[in-house]
Amino acid sequence: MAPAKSSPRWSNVHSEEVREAAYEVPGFDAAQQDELWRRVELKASTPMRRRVGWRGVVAGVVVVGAIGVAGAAAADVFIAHTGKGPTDAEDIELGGPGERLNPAAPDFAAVLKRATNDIPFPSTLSRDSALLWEVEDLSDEEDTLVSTGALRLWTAGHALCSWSNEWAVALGTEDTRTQERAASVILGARNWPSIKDTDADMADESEASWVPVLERAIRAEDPTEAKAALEGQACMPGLAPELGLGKRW
Amino acid sequence: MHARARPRTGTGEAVVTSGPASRADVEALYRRHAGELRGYLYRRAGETGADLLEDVFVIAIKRVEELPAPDLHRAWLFGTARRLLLAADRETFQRQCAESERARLDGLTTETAQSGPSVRARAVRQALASLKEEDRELIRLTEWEQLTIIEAAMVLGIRSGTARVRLHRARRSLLAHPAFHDLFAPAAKTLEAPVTKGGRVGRGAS
Repeated sequence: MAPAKSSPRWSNVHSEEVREAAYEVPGFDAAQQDELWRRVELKASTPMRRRVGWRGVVAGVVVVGAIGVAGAAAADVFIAHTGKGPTDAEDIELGGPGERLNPAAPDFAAVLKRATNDIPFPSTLSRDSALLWEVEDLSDEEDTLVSTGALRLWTAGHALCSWSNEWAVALGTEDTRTQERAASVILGARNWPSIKDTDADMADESEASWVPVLERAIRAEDPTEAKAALEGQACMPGLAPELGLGKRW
Repeated sequence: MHARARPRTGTGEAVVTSGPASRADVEALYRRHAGELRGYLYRRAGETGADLLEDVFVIAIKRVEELPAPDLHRAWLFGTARRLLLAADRETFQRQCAESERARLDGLTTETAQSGPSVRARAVRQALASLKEEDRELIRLTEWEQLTIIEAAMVLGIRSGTARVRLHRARRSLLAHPAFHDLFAPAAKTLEAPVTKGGRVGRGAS
């Protein structure tokens, strides 16, 4: 059965030999299959806090970036820019678009500020508070890279939260001019590049799926619905106290 | 933010679906393919890999609208499993090392602790370990996982023609490897008989 030394040819005998060398796999009985399917259904039907999901996956990217980060650190040029982007469509889906930034780098706050300077906030204070919160929040996570797209979308969320607070205050005080201005900004937010470029769909369980809900609340002049749209999605603590979304930290 | 791009075939052409799949379709896929996918994941990365099976089908449910044509569902599932393995790879850098170690130190596996792989199996694994990763994976996908060439090409994201060439090259390399070659020499008949695994036959590469 030995192949001719000069021109061996692959045959079913060789295939069989390779197949026989496959590693043994432990059994997977019907009960185990049913149990796993139950977990699949549960996991698939649980609305994810996409921010958390993004972060989990983005954290997984870190090892790829870690070499560069470590190398850069060794060279004393430890910076937020990594030059690394998503590797494929799935990476974009799970981690967000754009360059992966390193929040542990000393220049991260400055890079974040530059990356989000086109996002309108009602005040410098609200912008600074939002950006500072992001920097502090992300610094808690070791070995994490975060996409620029994700950061811009989160910052846009903070901005809309701030504008919603402005709107709610104006609604309560019958300051029609301020109310209309804030409403105009909120209703135009779906065209912000920070939202549109990252989540044009704004539907289902996507990152900015709460935006249309907020729009409906603004049009209906319903602060309760506005709070419901923002709660757990966009607001950092303290940006929308008028809506009851936590005190300033 | 949902990726809307449809999966692509090995020929680089967009897959045309015959109609949107449903959640029930995914469950049917699970019932049909969960066992073999788990085998694939386990063979590549042990228990840690097998744990990824859950994520494969969660992704399938969440992306049910993006599933390719039914005849490519199996390849899509294996491709998703492979991407999850690669992602896990990026996190740990351990799979390839572990795999190489496994091939080198067969004696330390659970399998070995119980019965031990046959001398012949060890020879095959040694020969496989000598191949380039992409060639080795083609061999394993077509022989261990019994994927067709078209399916394997889709899993690896290459054209089927390219896959055929690579598979041919990989087989020649295996045949030329001394450990594999010696299995078919007359003296090899004295080696212990291979352990039967009961692998399916008939869907292998042509």
